[in-house]
Amino acid sequence: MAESILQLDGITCDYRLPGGGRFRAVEDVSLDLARGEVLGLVGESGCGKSTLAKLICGLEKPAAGAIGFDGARVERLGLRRRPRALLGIQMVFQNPYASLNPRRRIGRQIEEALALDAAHRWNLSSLLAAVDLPPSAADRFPHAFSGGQRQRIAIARALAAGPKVLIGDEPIASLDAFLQSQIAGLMRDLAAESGASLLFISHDLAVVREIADRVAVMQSGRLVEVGETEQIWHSPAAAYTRTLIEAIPRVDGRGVIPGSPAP
Amino acid sequence: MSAPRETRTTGPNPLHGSQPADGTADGAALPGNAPGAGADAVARGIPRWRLRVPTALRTPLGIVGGAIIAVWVLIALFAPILCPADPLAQAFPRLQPPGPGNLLGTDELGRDVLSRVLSAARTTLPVAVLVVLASMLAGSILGAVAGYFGKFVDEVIMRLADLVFAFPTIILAMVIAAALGPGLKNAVVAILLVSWPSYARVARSLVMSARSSEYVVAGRLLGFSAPRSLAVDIAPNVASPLLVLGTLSVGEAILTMAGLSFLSLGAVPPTPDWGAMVSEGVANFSAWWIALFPGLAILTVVMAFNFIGDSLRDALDPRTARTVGEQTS
Amino acid sequence: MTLLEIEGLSMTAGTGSAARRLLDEVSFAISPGTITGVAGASGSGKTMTGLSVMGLVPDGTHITGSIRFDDRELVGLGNREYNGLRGAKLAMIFQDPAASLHPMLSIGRQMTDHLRFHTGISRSQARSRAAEALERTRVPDPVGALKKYPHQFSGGQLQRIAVASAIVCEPRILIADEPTTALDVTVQAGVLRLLRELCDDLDLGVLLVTHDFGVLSSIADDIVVMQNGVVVERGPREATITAPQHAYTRSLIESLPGSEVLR
Repeated sequence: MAESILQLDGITCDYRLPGGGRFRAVEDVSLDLARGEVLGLVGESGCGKSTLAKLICGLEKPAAGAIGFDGARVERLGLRRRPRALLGIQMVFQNPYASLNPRRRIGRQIEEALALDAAHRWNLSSLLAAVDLPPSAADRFPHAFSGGQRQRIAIARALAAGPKVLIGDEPIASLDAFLQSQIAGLMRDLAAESGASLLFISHDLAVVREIADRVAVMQSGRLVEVGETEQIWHSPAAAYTRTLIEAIPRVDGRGVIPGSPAP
Repeated sequence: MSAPRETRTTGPNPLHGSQPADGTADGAALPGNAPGAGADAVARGIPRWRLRVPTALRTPLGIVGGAIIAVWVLIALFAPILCPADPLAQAFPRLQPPGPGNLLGTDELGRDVLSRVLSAARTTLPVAVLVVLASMLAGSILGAVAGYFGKFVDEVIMRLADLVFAFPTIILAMVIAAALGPGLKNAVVAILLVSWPSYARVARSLVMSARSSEYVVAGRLLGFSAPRSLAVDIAPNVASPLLVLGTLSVGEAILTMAGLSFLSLGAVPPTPDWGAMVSEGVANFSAWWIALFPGLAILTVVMAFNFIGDSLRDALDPRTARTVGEQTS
Repeated sequence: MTLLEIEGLSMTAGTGSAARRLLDEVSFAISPGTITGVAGASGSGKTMTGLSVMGLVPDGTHITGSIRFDDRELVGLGNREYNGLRGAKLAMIFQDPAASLHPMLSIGRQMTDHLRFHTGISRSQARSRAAEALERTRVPDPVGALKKYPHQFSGGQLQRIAVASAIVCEPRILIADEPTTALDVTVQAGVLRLLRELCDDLDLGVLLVTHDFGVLSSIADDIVVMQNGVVVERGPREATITAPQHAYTRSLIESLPGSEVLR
C-alpha cells in the first residue's frame, strides 16, 4: 500500500448535551488514508461521519486519540489562524448555498485560495475550465449560479489551495439525483489530477461505489467495516453494510420497494 | 499551467445541454427569482444589494423621505443665500408674530426665526449624521468583536452595554453632557456613549450566527486570521440590518440632541439649533411661533429618516428571506 | 376513471416583457388508487405543478389552463372554496417533516385542529380519529404520540406523522413533494411502502414529486418527466424507465449511479 498521508488513531469525540451529560458522536475510530487514494466514508445521519470530517479539519477536539497529517499533528483550530502545515487539508461542504460568501465575487474567493498553493498547480482560468464553468463566472456572485454550479465552484476553491487531502462532507447530498454521480466523479478526477487524496463522505453507497478505491462504513459513531469497494459492495462482512446496500432502490422499473419480495 | 480536461470521466450531463452554462436555471421556477428590477443586473453580475438601495427608495414613503432630506440638504448648503436676514443679528422688534416683515416672526432677542431655522440645518443635520455614523461604527465593531471571540471579551463588552441600557437614554446623556460641560462637541460625545450599545447588541447576534456558517468556516480553513475573517467574510454579510438600524436612529439622534439643547447642554447660544430654539420658545409660551417652526423642522427630518429606514428595511428583508427557498425545485 | 385531470396548465411569473413561463401546457391525469410520479431536475416545474393543484401558487404568478378535481374546476376557484378543499380533499406532505410540523404544538393538537375545522366533530372524536391515523401509518404508541412534540421523534417517524396528519381528513388526493429525500435510505423504504399501502387501501390518488428515479421505480404507477416547465414524456413506470422515448429522460436515467444494474 502507498504511503499514508492522514492517520486517525483511536479517535473518540463527545458532545456535551444541553441538559448535562455527553453524547459520544465518534468512538475509537482508526483509519488511514493513503496518498492519492479515494476513500468513501458511508453511514446514515447521526453516525458521526460529519463529526469525523470536522475532527480532521480541527474544527472539533477529540476526547481521545490523535490525528496525524503529513508529519504534523492536527490541533483544534480555535480562534487562531490555521497553521501552515495544516492548510493541506481542505473541505467541500454539504450545502452549496451556504459555503460560498454571497457578497464576494467567485474569482476573488478562488484567487485567495490559489495564493496558498506554492506549487501553483492551477490558475483561475484553468480551474474554472476544469469545473466546467465559463471564464466570465469569475466576475459573478454566487447567487447567479445553480446548486450544482455552486458546488463545482466550492470544489474549485478547495482545490485551488493545493490540498494534499480533500474532504467532501456530503458534497452531493443537496443536489439533484441526476447531478450526484457527475459531481462526485468530477471531484475524484480533479483530486487525482491535483495529486490529492480524497475522503468522500456520503450516505449514498451507490455513488461512493462509483468513485472510491476503498469504503469505510460507520454506524453509531463506530467503524463497522473498511475494505476494497467491490468487496464491500458484493460481499459485505457486516450485517449493517448489507442492510445499507439492500435498502438502495433499484432503477429497474419493476415496482419493487427495497426490502420486500419481488412481485 | 492548464489542466487537461479530457481526463475527466463524468458521464452524461443531462442538465448541461438544456441550460445556459451561466444561467440561473436552478432558480428558474422560483417566485423569489421572479423577474424584477434586479434581474438584468444579476445577469450582468452586478451585486443585487447595490441595486436594491435605489429600488428601496422607489417606494412612496422612500421617495417622500428622500425628497425631504434632499430639500434639507439643499437648505443647509445654501443657507447663507436663502436666509432673509442674519440669523444672529438682533435687528428686528422683539417677539413679532409671523407676518410680511418676518415670515415666521422674531424671537425674544429680535432675531428672524426663519433665518435661524434655516441656518440651524447646518449644525443639526451634519452633527446628527455624524453621531449616528460614529456610534454605528463603534457599536458594530465592539459587538462584532464580542460575538466573534465570545467568552471573556464578550462578557466585558456586553456587560458594559447592559450598564448603558440600564439607564434611560436621555437622562444618561444629560448626566454625561453635564459632567463634560455644555457644548456641541460634548453633546455629541454623550450621545455616542449612550447609543453604541444598540448597534453592539444587533451586531453581536448577527456575527454569532454568521460565524458558524459554512463560508466563514471555509475561509478559516483557507487560513484566514480572525480580523480578516471578520472583515472579509462576516462584515459584508451582516451590514444591511445595521444600516437599517442606523437610518432609523438618525431621527432619534436629532431628538436626543434637541433634548440636550433644550436643557442648555447642546449647542452654545447664540448658535442656532433646533432643540435650543424649541427650548427658548417654551420660555415664551405666548409667542408660539418661536418653538413651533423649529419643532416642525425636527419633525420633518425625523419622519423623513424613518421613512427611508422603513423602506430600506422592507427592501432588504425579502432579500434575506429569498435566499432560504432557493434549494427546492 | 379519473380523479384529477390537469389540462394545458401554464404558469407565468411577472408581466409584459419580463414574463417567464414556469409551466407550459402541462397535462396529465391521476386515477384513484394510483401513484403518479413527476420527475425532473431542479427548476423543471415539478414542485410548481404540485403547488398549483393545492392552489398554493406563489405571489406574482399567474396560471391558466384547467385542473379538474371531482367535476370541479380548481383554476380560478375562490380562496374560501379552496380552503374547504385543502387539508380535507387535497392533502400534501413535504420534504422536511421537521419543518412542516409546528415545533411548539403537540402532535395531537396539530392533527386535530384541521380535522375539527373541516368536519366539526368533537375534540375527543377528533383525537380518536387522529390516533387511528397514526396507527395506520405505524407510528408506535399512537395514543401516547398525540401528547408528544415533534422534537421527540426521529425524521422517519415525523414523516409518518406528517402522512397521518395528511390522511386524517380522508383526502382523495395526496401530493407528496420529495417525501423521502431527507430520510436515510434504510428509513426510506418504510415510508415508500406506507405510501403504496395507503394509496391502495384508501383509493388515494397520489402525486409523487421527486428527482429520485429509484423512488419512482419502487412505487410509481405512471411517470411524468418534466424539463423546464414542459412535460417531455409520460407513460407507465416500467416502459418509461426501461425504454424511455425522450432523449432527456434517457439522459436522466443514464446519469444515475449504478445505472448498469438494470441492464
